[in-house]
Amino acid sequence: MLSLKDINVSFDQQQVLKDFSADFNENQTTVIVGPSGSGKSTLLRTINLLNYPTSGTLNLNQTSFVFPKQYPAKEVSHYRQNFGMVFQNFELFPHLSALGNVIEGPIQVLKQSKTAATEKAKVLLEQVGLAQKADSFPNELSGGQQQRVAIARALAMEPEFILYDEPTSALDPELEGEVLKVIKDLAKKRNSQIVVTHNLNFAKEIADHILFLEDGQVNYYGLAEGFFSSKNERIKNFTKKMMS
Amino acid sequence: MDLMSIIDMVRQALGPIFIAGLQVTIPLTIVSFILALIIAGITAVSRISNSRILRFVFATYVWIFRGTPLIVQLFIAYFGLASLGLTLDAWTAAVITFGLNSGAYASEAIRAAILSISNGQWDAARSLGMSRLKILQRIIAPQAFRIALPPLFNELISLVKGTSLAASITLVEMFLVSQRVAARTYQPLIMYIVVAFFYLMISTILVGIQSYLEKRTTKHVGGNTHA
Repeated sequence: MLSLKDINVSFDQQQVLKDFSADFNENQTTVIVGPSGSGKSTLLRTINLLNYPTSGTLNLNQTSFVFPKQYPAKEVSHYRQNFGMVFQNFELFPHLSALGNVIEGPIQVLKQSKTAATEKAKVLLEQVGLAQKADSFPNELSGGQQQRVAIARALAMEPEFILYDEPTSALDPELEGEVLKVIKDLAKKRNSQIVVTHNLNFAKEIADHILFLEDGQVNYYGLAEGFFSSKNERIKNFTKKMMS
Repeated sequence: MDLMSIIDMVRQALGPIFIAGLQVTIPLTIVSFILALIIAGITAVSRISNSRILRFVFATYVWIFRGTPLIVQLFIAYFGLASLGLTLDAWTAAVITFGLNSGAYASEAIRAAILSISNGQWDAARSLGMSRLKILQRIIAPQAFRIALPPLFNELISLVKGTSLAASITLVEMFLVSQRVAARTYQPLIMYIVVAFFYLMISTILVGIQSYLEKRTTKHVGGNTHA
């Protein structure tokens, strides 16, 4: 279980997460929703320690971080291996082929052999429907294809959780579907996923749990059904606005 | 003076200048530039490190070597240090000075190239659990190399021409040879045009190498391939 307790994150005096506490379970898809600027992406990046909290505790299984203490870079890198991250702008490595992107982590970080990593990468690319594109470079792929490679890259590390930071916001509507389908398939297979999205229709389809973040604090955290049938005025307003 | 004797004089000068180029100017440039690249790489990485001391030390180095004339640096290395009992031969003094001087400029090209790679690339590599050194080596360097290529070749071309200053510390490179021929033949105009032509040839070859390397490396990195 991933557990955040009393987490505070600030940038330049501005507090983005305020005494944030939540637990995230394995084998579930949790979708984080909320208005722009509510701290959704910051929360996701904080989970992966791409941002450092000013205070609070972060627990994953046996590992524990208590802030504001500074931890050695090695410990942080090791912790990050528990998470695969998918970014809004894909962030594939442009100098590496699709296959090269997927095997980079396993070879460089997990010290797998090139043969073993390549074999597994091919299975993953197949899984995201891009077996034919293994040798293509990112600039030869559409946005949707790039994002699917990015998902394969994250999966190749066999992370505990996959974190998605608005994975389809940079995509044309007609390319969105292919990426959403991959995430949905992974949800069905009971992967542990945390997804930040604006797309509430999609959230409804895949979420076991919804976390509604407002102004850096948890407004709702519970079953997805409960969120979409909530009588709470704030939630009703939000879902109405976002799903119209 | 008739045309035939001019042609004859040029022909006689070509050999010694060519040999000086082959034996001194070109090796001096290559060795100095390799040294410069090593220094520049270390400097650039140190200047973006978290260590305030490292940043200060290397920023000071760049400040001094960019802020003082190359010829003064050569004189300090060759004549100045000798007065302290540290006697360097002309070749060594030239390599060290050119390496440090060029390294200061090249480090800025490399530093700028590294900083131009988006934070998203760092984040993506970090999220794979890569260490800072590994990220620099595997993800940033290959992309930064392409971006740094044009300014680094600028630096290399200016270094080729800069080696002519080594004549002033008695190193017998192309320019010093041409000076000697000019003194002997009383034909400074012709001789200096001939040696200028040699520098131009070397630069032209370097421009060719640059455009070849750019074509090879721009294939997938960076959005712009219209050149």
